[in-house]
Amino acid sequence: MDTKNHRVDDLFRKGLADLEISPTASGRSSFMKKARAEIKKRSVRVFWLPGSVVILLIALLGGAYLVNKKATKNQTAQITGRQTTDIRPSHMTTTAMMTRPIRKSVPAQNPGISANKKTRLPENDNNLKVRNNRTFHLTTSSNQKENKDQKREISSIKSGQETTSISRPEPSVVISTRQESLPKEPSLNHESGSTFLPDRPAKDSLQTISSAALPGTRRTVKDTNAVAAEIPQAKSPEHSNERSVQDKKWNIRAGIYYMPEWIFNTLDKNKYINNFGAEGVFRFGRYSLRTGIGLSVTRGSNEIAIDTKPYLGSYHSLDSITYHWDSRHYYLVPKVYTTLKDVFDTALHKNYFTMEREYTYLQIPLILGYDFYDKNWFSLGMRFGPVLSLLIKTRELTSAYDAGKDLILTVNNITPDRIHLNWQAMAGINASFHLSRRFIFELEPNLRYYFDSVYEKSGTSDKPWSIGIRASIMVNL
Amino acid sequence: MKFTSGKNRSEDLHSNADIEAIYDRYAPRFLGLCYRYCGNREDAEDIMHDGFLNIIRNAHQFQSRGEGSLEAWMKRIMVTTSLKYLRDHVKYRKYLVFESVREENNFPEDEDEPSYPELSQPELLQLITELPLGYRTVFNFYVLENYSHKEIAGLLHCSENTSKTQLMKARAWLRKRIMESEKTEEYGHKESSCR
Repeated sequence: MDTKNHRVDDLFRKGLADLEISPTASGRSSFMKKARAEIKKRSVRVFWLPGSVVILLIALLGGAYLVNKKATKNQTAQITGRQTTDIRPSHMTTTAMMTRPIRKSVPAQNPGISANKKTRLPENDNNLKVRNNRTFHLTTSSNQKENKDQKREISSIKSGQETTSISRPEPSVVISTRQESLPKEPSLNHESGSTFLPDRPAKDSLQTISSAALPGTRRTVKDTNAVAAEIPQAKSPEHSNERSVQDKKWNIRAGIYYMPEWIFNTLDKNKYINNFGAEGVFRFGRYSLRTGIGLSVTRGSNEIAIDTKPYLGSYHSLDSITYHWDSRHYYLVPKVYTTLKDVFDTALHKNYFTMEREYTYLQIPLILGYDFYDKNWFSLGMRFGPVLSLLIKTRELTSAYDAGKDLILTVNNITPDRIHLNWQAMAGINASFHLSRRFIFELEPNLRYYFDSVYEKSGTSDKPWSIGIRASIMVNL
Repeated sequence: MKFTSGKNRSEDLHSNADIEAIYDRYAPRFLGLCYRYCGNREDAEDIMHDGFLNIIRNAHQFQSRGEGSLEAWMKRIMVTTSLKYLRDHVKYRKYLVFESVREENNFPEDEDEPSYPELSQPELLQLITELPLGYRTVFNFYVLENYSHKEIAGLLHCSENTSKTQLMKARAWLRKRIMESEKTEEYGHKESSCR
């Protein structure tokens, strides 16, 4: 059947080979309008895809830089900037100590104290006593004559059962610290009344003591290699609270957010969307689950095509004539019944009208999160999850089309109606700034992909995507 | 035209001038093509516009394989767009019901196919648009676009036999209509000569 050359096929092949139908001028202009919009859309797409990636990268790198800067500043300030006696619990991590030092501030005699510098203790400062009246003994080696002027250096620090050795110039006075009541004790670094601070805080013993801050402290110099220091486990109530918050593995946050959003691949010129609402976050360690309720308000234009017949005028159309006799029954009196009728042009006129509309969506997100960088004052993480959008309200912002006296034949929607339910997938980078123990400010640049077109006719446009930046204030509950 | 510019790979359609040039050159031909599929001018123009938009969107994918490849590529897009339109169209679902292959015997092949009178282009177009949608689609694909039954079956999600049956029915329908119109003409001619 397929191979046979049918005459009817040939007839149509030959006859319709060069079939051409000229398009109308209005069709051409409307196509050019659509084509221009398509070109613009494509150029915007070309710019925004790499643009959004660059913005996210800049935000990420900026956040990391700020965090590093802050951490370095804290470390520097702790090691070199202050002459204080730090008394920290031995089990605190280095990071925790850097960011939340618990200091026994003691004025120092030598402002230039550093890890490699020595601070001289007063000659008569034999007894070192910390603030809470606990005492520790300094034992100085006596076999160095040139060090009789009480230059002392801590050679080792006993922390409970363990001893920490710190490199020192030879020979030096050795201060032995003996712990009386603590399970662990911080490090101490002295040389003849000087305080040596380690280059960086030691994990299990970070403690500097300036002799000036310890008036009345009894210091006994012995010919031993160790200084036993009795350091209290200093914990202020504030510190205890902070610890408890930090150690708490889960917490709940609640807050409000606002997010400007720019949507692409829609028929509307207006790309801007306002999002706002309330959210709650359940955090478990570095993981979080965020949900809430919000409103998304956007504006769009709705183009309609109206076919009309223009009004030309009106006339009295004769309906009927009745006759009746006059009072004398001599004449027949006609009575004419007419109806006023409008006259319209026979040619159809197509009019286009654009209405502005405001669409309000109810949004319910379910966002999962993981913080890959977490400091006390700042955390950085990723967020992703679905967002459900429900169209709850459509408001006309412009008045309805007024055709005047023209006859409206048909009204067709050129812009399709908005879809009532839409799912989106959201992914973003979340930066949280801890303003205080309770308040957290969050910035979250994000990218959304709409699984369906926002319009009812799916073939009208591609699936939209959007970028936005969410700002929120959260409260730790 | 900037679209191919002698390279293997096409350039994108950047400017309005490029698009206008393409539209002005190919629109009449493609409007005729779309008209054959949908059967009315307004829909045909809509389909053609959608097809041109698809061409603009996918211009970067076009690879020139010699003269005529651009037109063939664009024609293919137009055909696909027409088919998509028909699929989305309510009428398509209503009327494009493929008969079972078992009915094939009801339309025996006409062995002695007569020679047909010369018909004008509008008359042929009228006949095509009057074809039922299912017949018309297959007839367009097979006869005028030179698609094979296998390709048609793939595009229309039906079996090859169904495509063959639809084509056969379309031919029978057209033959019948052409013969009818011929008889009417002859009758009219005789009447006028008698007078």
